[in-house]
Amino acid sequence: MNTPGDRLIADRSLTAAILTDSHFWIPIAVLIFGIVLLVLLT
Amino acid sequence: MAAGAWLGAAEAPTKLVTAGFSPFLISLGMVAGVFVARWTLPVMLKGTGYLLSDFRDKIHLVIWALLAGMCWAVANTLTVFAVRNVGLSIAFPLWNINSLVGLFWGWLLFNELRGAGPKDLARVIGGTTAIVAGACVLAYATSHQQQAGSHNATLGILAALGAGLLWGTMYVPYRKAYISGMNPLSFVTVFTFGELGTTLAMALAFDGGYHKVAAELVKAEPVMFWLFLGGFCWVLGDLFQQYAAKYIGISRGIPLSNTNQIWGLLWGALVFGELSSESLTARLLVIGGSLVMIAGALAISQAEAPASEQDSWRLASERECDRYGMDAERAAAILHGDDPLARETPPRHWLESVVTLAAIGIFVWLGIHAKVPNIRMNIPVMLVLLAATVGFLIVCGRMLWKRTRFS
Repeated sequence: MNTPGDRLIADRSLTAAILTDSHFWIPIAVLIFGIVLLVLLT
Repeated sequence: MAAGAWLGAAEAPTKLVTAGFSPFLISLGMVAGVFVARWTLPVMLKGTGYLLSDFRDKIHLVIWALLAGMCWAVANTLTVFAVRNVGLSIAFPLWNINSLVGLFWGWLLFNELRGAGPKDLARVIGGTTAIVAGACVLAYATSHQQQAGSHNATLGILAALGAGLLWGTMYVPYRKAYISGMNPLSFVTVFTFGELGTTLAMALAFDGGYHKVAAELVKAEPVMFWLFLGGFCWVLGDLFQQYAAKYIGISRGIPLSNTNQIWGLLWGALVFGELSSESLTARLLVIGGSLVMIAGALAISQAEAPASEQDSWRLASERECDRYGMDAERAAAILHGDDPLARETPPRHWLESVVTLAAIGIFVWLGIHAKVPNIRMNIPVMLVLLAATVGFLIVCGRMLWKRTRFS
């Protein structure tokens, strides 16, 4: 089966597509902020 | 609205857990129940073949689903600290900004509300603000102020704000998945790994390590059924919320499902008599806050996205398809409830029956070992609320099935 997902993995562009997606860094940044807060709280 | 009813009903079984367990353990028990139900319901409704095909088509969304689950778990843990440091009446309104945060991300990243007329815009923004304000009034009326040191109070406020920010941002992966044409049932199946893994890590890190958590889990066996039952109700509510995020967007779907607080309050006040010792002022505040929330929900429910706004949604969907090599027409068809994948799915595997039976077995086993605590409950009112909640499940579930075949 040759799905878009298979093709993205095959040409190794999946990681690049995710990492260059500016949306991706929003939840990552918020998650890091949340974990730092948790560390401060304990 | 069905999401609100079921997310609110999820609070009822957990009210039966009165023994002194840590909030981390209660959270872990409930999330474990969520995990079991989240694996079973999608498998029962769509089958593993469908779920795997859906993810093979949109493989990049695995990381997004895990990320959303992690955001949920960290936010949930932050609320525990926020309540401990500043009390529910201050913490709740702060973390309840999540629907405003979701509304902002929906507008900024996914073109929601762009192209909407001023009337619809006013209904959505006004309705969301009313729901947040009503929730604040309810939290104020039903909680008791706690004294806290100024350092602790600052951290508590930060924790509550952080939880609101995390929950509001969690809707970014939701919407990302749904404008790509993903089925909510597939999304939650992976989401739950991020959720359970992070909740377990939090419990181990903040609740005394593996041996203490394991010992508490053994001690909690008689109440685990109620936590699992709460988790099961939560999964049903969450599924409705996911479908709302898919079909009406996060700016409308999330505030509407945040009406769960009214349902939680109905269970607490009418079934468990939690307001019986409250003053007349508090009761009037509860009624006023509920009415404000209902008015907000009604305003949003009348703000259907016009064609011009749906064109903006389509642009956001096309952008995703372009980036991740997906078929834009296929994604657009799925967003209108016509899922081509449902017609291509391989037949079901016998292992699916084993998964379903195992999940039912876990619930039965816990049910046999469950102890019913000696808590006074208003049974007739409980039956009425149960009937209303099940009614929402049947009516809304049927509507979803008829229009989308749960796609």
